[in-house]
Amino acid sequence: MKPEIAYIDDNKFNLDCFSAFLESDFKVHAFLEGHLFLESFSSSSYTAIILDIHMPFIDGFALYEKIIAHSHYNGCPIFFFSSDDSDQTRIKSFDLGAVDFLNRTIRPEEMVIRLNSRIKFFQMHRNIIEFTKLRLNLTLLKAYVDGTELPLTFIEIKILCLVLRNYPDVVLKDQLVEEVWRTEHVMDATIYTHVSNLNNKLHGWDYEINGLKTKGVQLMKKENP
Amino acid sequence: MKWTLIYFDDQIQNIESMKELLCEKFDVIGIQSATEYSAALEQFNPHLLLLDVHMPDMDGHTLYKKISEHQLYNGCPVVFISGDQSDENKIKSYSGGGIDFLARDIKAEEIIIRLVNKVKFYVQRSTSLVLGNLEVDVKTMKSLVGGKNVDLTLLELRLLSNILRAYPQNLTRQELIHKAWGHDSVKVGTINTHLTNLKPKIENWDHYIKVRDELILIQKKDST
Repeated sequence: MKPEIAYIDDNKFNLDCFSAFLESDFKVHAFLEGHLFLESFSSSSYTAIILDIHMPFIDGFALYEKIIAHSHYNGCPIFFFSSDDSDQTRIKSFDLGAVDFLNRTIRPEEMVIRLNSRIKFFQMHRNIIEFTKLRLNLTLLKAYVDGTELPLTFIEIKILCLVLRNYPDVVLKDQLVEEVWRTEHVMDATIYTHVSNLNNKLHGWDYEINGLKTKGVQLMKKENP
Repeated sequence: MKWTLIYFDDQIQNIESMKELLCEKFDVIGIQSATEYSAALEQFNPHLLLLDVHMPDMDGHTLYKKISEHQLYNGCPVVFISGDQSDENKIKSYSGGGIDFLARDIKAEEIIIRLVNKVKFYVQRSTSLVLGNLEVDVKTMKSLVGGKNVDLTLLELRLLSNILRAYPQNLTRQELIHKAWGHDSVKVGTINTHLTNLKPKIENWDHYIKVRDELILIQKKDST
């Protein structure tokens, strides 16, 4: 599966031409205008975003700030891509926090390599776990379903994180007790009360945590959603 | 309070000028012999590695490969620097795992900004936060002081991980509230209460947190 990237550029010729050669390595979502991109942002998940700088209505810098402040932003690398190679523009790009500034004259092969190097680093250091409609942000230590924050307790967040990291495997009871409660013995009833409270809070999600009697717990797709 | 950068370059004058250039943001550890990488990783916990590409005893790309396979490598970003701007060199640097490639003729101001930018990208996303003998792993939500487990509440973990993530920069109380609660409608005094509760739990840490005016500071304890 190719990584999904978004590319926003008001110049139709550039948009078509660069999208065409990026298509060999990525699934490119191309937008002619920043607001169109933002409208669909909540229902998307990209591994990288490429922004032209000089655009009417909303320029690349303003768009950048909107993206990183957006509750749905997953922390992926954002690149600026422009023919304006002035020191001022380059420095502003890096200062804002963009991972790279790509000059319009760049060779396509180099562009792909530079995108891939940052995507690889991002994948290694992802602090957001996404799983269908659920998002767990490890920087904020908060969980969301469809963008709405869930009021989870610490124990519940720990259980959720553990089953997500182990999916589709079973989390054995010993491991669950050790990692969540950090003690040796917790009554089965206690475990299942927490799991069932957690499932209630996750009701809008198409997955749930199944308690496997004496064995442990496991994340599974709901049979009748 | 600066980030730690290990710079491998066989030319001492390059190391000296980089130290001078970066002195406000980084403690630059200069190492002239690439073969000493193992000792360097044992001694320091860097936020960034800067590697010269052309070195006599080992080239930068080989050095990167050795470092990335080393058990003590902490996953921090690696940046290559070189006077050789050939496509071959650039491509080798990026595809070999470098997160940036700096040509030697880049303006001083841009070098600083690009390095700072890479550290921030890494630190904001890192799930394993280490300072002195304190380790916080937000993926497993485990905190250890001197290898011993510390039981924190969810809010304490949020506060501590945000303070560590910002280090060596200092957050204001208001900024920390925004990061830990996600909104601003909490009284700033609340922070002091939570930090007071946190203090005895991490008393064996070789650093401590204190609030001065509006700023939250991390300071190293005097070794007595």
